[in-house]
Amino acid sequence: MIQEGSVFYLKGSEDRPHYHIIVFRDPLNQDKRLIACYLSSSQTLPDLTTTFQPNEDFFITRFSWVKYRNAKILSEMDLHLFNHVGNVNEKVLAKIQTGLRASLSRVPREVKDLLLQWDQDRLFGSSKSR
Amino acid sequence: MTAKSLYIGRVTEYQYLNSVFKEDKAIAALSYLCRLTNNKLNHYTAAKLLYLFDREVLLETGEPAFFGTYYALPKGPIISEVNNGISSCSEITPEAPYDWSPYFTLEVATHTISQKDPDAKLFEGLLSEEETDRLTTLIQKYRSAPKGVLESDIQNLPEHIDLLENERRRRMPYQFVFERNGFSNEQITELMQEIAYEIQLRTKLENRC
Repeated sequence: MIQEGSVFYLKGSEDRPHYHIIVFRDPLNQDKRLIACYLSSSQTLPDLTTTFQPNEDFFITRFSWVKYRNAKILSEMDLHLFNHVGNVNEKVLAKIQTGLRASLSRVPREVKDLLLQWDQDRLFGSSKSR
Repeated sequence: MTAKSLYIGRVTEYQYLNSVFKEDKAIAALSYLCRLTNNKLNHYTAAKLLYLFDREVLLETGEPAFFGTYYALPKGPIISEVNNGISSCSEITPEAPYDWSPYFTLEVATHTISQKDPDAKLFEGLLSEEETDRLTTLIQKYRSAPKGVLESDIQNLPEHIDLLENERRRRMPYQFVFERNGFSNEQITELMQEIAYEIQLRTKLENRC
């Protein structure tokens, strides 16, 4: 089951994998699009918004950071190109989600707009259930 | 529809098609510049500002904005695909792999590029706010600058190349731009690996469609 926090790597990149995290998905589960970011361990020009030390989660073996600038909208079909390796722990997911919200000026406008639309949906969805 | 669907079959032996060029994003940036300039932008200025924009993004983040091909010309570097895209908008359209004429018009006599729909916000979702702010800063800087300042600044960039007498242009790989701007070999290797990964990822995602 694909969920917020699912971790993937691109098939064919096993020798030097970049781990992709599903950061947000539609709270009403009607939109099949997903917002994903990947981690980099490059020491040059890192984005220090959200960084990880080795062992903060099962797949993090070295200093890593989230490349929010390359945040993408993926479809569930796109995930056939990736191998699923597990799910991040809640603390790590919260860090990445908070970091993405703090980086909205740096992500493509379409990613920002989709997230804000889902926030609206979440708000109205919960209002209706009261 | 993406712009890429428009240029199939227009590739010549002189101008190759760069499959990783973010054409829609480059169109978005040009569209944004047109809107900032009352829809009248000089061809030279547009090509140079988009180069300045792209190399700023490259040097600050490690990845170019458009993934185009840099070439050194006598009057300073350009992004080849962007220049081809702009050139494709004139009535005397040269054979070019990129066709931006559905979106822009290039008036040959005045070298002025305009959007066909002045209010169009073409592919705007592909630009981040940081990127539109960067484009705004560039246009503000050079719009009020005395004539020749943009050309002078371009020619004073660390990566500027004085071409040989019989040389029309020379390709400038990203590695060269990094090197000329003070990055070490180790850093360049790391940055190029990151660029290669993003290209690999995008290629797989785009080919899936």
